[in-house]
Amino acid sequence: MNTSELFSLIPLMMVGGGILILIPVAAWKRNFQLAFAISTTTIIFDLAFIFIKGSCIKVDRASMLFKTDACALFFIGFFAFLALGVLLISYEYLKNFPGNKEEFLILILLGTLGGMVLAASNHFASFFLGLEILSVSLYGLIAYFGRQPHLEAGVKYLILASASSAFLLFGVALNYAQCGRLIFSGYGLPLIFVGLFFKLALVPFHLWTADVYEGAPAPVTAFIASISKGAVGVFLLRYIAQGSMNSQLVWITIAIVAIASMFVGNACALLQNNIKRILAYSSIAHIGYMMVIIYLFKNYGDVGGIRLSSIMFFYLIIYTLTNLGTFGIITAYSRWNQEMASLDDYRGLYWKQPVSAMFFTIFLFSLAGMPLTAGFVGKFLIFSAGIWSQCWWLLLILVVNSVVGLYYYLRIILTMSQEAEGRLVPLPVRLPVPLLISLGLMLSAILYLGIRPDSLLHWIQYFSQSLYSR
Amino acid sequence: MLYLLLLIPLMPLLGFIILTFAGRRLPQSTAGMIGCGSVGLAMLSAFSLILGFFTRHPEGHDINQVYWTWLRAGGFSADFGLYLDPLSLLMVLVVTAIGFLIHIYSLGYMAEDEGFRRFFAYMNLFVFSMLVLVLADNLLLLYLGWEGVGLCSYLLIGFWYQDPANGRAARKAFIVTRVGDTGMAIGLFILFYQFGTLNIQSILHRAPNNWVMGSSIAFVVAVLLVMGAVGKSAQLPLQTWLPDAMAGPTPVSALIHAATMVTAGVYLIARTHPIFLLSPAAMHLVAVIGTITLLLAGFSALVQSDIKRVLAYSTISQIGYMFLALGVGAWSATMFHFMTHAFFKALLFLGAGAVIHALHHEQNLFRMGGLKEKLPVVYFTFLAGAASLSALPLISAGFYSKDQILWNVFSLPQGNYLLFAGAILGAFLTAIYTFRMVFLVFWGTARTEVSRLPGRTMTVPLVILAVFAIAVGLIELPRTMGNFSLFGNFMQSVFPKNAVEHGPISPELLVQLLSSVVILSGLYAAYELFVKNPQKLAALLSRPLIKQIHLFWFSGWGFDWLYNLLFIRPLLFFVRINKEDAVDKIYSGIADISCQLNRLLLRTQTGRIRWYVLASVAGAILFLALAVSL
Amino acid sequence: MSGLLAFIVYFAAVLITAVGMIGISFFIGQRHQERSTGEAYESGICSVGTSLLRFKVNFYHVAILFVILDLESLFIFIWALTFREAGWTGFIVMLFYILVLLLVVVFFWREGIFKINKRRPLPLHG
Repeated sequence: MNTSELFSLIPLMMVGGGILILIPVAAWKRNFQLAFAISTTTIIFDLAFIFIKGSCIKVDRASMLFKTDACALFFIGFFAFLALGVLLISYEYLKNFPGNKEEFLILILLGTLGGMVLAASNHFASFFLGLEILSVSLYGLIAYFGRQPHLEAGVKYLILASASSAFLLFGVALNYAQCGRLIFSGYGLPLIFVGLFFKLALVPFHLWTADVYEGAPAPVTAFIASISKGAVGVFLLRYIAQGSMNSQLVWITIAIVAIASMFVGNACALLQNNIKRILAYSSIAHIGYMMVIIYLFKNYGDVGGIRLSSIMFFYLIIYTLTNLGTFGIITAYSRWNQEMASLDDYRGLYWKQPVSAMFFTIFLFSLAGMPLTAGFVGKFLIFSAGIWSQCWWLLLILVVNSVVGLYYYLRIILTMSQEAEGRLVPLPVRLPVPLLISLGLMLSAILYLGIRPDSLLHWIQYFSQSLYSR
Repeated sequence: MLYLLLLIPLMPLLGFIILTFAGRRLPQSTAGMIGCGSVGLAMLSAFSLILGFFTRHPEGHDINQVYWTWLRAGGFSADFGLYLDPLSLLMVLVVTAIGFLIHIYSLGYMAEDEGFRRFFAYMNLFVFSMLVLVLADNLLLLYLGWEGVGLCSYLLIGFWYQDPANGRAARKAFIVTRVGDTGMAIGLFILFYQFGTLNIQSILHRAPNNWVMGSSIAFVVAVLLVMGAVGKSAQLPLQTWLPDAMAGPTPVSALIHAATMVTAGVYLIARTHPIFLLSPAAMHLVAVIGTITLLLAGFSALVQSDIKRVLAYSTISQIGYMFLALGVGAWSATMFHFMTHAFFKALLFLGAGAVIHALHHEQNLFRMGGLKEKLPVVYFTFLAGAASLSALPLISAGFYSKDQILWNVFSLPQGNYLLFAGAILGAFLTAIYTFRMVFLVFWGTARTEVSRLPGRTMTVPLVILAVFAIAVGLIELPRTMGNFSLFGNFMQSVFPKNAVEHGPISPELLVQLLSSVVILSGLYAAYELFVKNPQKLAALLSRPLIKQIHLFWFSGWGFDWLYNLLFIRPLLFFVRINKEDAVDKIYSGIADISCQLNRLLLRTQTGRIRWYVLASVAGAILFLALAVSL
Repeated sequence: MSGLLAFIVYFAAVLITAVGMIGISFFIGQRHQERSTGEAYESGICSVGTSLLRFKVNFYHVAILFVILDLESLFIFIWALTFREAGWTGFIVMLFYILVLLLVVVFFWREGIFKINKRRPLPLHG
């Protein structure tokens, strides 16, 4: 390992360094403000480093384990951005918690680090480490506040995720048995898929989603829905872009999983009365849409692959941004000992808190794919890719599902605009500033990308090429 | 320069956003300042653009600026691009300048209204949409602006939504124009399908090469575009919404339903004139629609009792003139009349608003009167507007623009004597109803007490507009009087040249004399009927036949009744027998299946870990089975 | 397709074996319930009381910490095996590694994990 390789790993090491600073600070003298400042500063420095010095990172293969190409760097930065969002929305939530708060921040940073490692990994060892760093910190985060629903969700996630990791490890072992090395290849693929699909919550590995989303504290749900899903999604695409899976199996598996996820996600969300559960199911459907893009990789070589990967990345980015915003709104009204996730809690929000209702509406519109939000552009790109590939049957399923999906998003919006029959949103009259900053960031990102998607697509196309430059 | 162009629509949008999100917290004065200031800045940008346009582009080169690409897929690409040529520049100038004056006026007019901030937010949104509509360089953006102004029109007609009647009027406006919009949307789809691009200019450039003169596709597209245009511009057969749209606040009527939005249809046809040139039949249709509309609306305006409805019908009638001019290919004359009309009609509406304001929301002409002394500023400015509307010879802007239309109808090959006769008759009617209004409102005896006087914010825009309503005609003088053609030169790069400009001068003089005589006699008739011998009118009205006709005209030729009979009743009938909609079955089927699926799938959500693990294992086995089988 | 057939056969064989082993012993195995059936065999010790005892969570903390640090120290063994090849870089890296471990131990120490007798309220609020 030489200095330039070390240099290229600085974005990862900075987050790790932040954690190492936080641990003695938490041990020596507990001070939430200080710890919060340290963690946000770490993230901001990391972002700034990537922004300013990112172009100086020239090495493609930082070590045997990592590949910090433009794509990885972008997503490391993006996850840092998401982590900043999560930190900001959880500030007020944590402040009201009487127990230890600092470890929560450590765990968030740790999970983010796991996501970053996942995005940059080029080797099964680093991949597995990243995945486990992410999962283990999630176990802690989900159960952090120690109430019964948190603990239940935490234990469920712990057991199920460990089971899926076992499958994944077995797949990796098969890969090793075949290649004698831990580099990415197509061996053991079905079992590796089991592990990845579990994390992405694709049918039939989706059953944990609703329970965990519902049981986890709102900021942690935001974390799962944004960074955790995003990191695994990025990894999946990078893994597939390696191009080693030319067997028919992959595509059939992916098609089945995509179709099942779209149908199951949308159908389950229809009549839910808990917003977190609705969003959990909707996330299943959304990942299903993304799998449609992955399915389309089947027919195309590198050129089409670049295009499809940029679509997939774009969708993933806006989807995680929107989800973070949506759960941010839920966090705004939740407390560590009381989640405001029932649909009834939001009845009449328009009349009491028009601004946050407006925020919520725009986020939901983006999820539903309304024009002028980024979600529309994402859907449009998927449709155009489908038309381009002439994959009509899959497209038809996609359209039907988008329409069905519209129903439950609009249902939430409708509920917000209904008169509240004596029901009040009891908690804050004004939203805390850090949360507003976070929501504002997400909202402006979504609207900006809805109006000027080309600005981001340009970048994505650029670094998607690096995926294929072997 | 290029970003200045972007600034024009952006400023009102910014104003709208600020007012929407922070409006409630801002004091009223700040909110008003933002509302007016945003439009004012847009106006300043437009003025600096026109300077740049004349200095840097002396030959009137057009600017087509694509700022970014919104979506791209295959050959399809939706850009955000603005297109500036003399036509859109004129529209922008009129929209921002008149919009600015009306915003200023509204400061006074709406001062005591609870919805002050909401009003300015909507108005800013309207100005934004209108600017997008006229500056759009592609069909998508054009359609966005088109629907945006429709939405704002809806919001502002129903501004005082507590009264259900206003809500009904708003819905009527929205639905009636939607009928036209549907046609227009189909027309735009055909254009996109035929040319494979959304860019308006490239479509218009390619149209003459791709389509033969008089081909049926050109006719169909032109007619579909006309459908959209007649809806927005309140022309026959979709004119019925405009009189009812007067339910909104008067500044709205002035800005949207007189000066700018209703001329969107005119703009659309003028913008797509190469397509119309390919279809003489469609052009003729436009001319005929214009003539019939101007006559029908003129007769209706004669008998209305509500001051705003008189003005509404006069708007329909004047836009009828524009359609007539478009139909005979007098493009530049159309836009000239559009400009003068914008000034004097805004002036008249604002004057009427001042009167209504002063009389405590009294709108009935017959309860007004004798306001000459009490509201002198309003009187004189209103008089200027009325002179311009009735096209009093030489001293009004309306004369020059209307004269140009009349002369073109007379002389251009597409015009004929029937159309010309209709236009002359319309001019006569215009003079009568205009001065009927002036006499009833300002002359005679006072019938309602003046409760408050208009403030500075209301009178200053009136005076400015009055100056324009008189003087703006001087930028385009006919050949008989100086032959000064600033406006025509400005427009010449947009429109094809008309052939008649080098003929003998005497017929033109003849037409001018004829129209002057007709207009003056109309003025005299109004004086005779409404000032000198009102009893004569009363005697005339007491005859049963005349009374019937009066009623018939009053109800706008019974179109509402007719449409109710022809469309609404049958539609309701079909709705009733088709309650269990057959087509709906598909959708409710999807919904039912989804609900069943929901019920079924929720069974899998047991909450038990062992079951979840089992599902995962089953999935893994499935994957493995697939792996070994392929 | 032969692969799928083989898979099904294999899967069925696994299933039959598992079900068979339990089923056969269920059907043909003898069943009797007498006084000493449940007792410990030969030199086993009879259990006293229930096994569902409540231990202090602090024992668990110490135990798990022991396991974790024990595992971490495995890496030090690996480094020790390649001490010469790793050179100064390896040395510095290992110092850093031990520093991180130390930091964690300090953290737990400050948290009072090692004070087994001390009654401290759990940080969690159920």
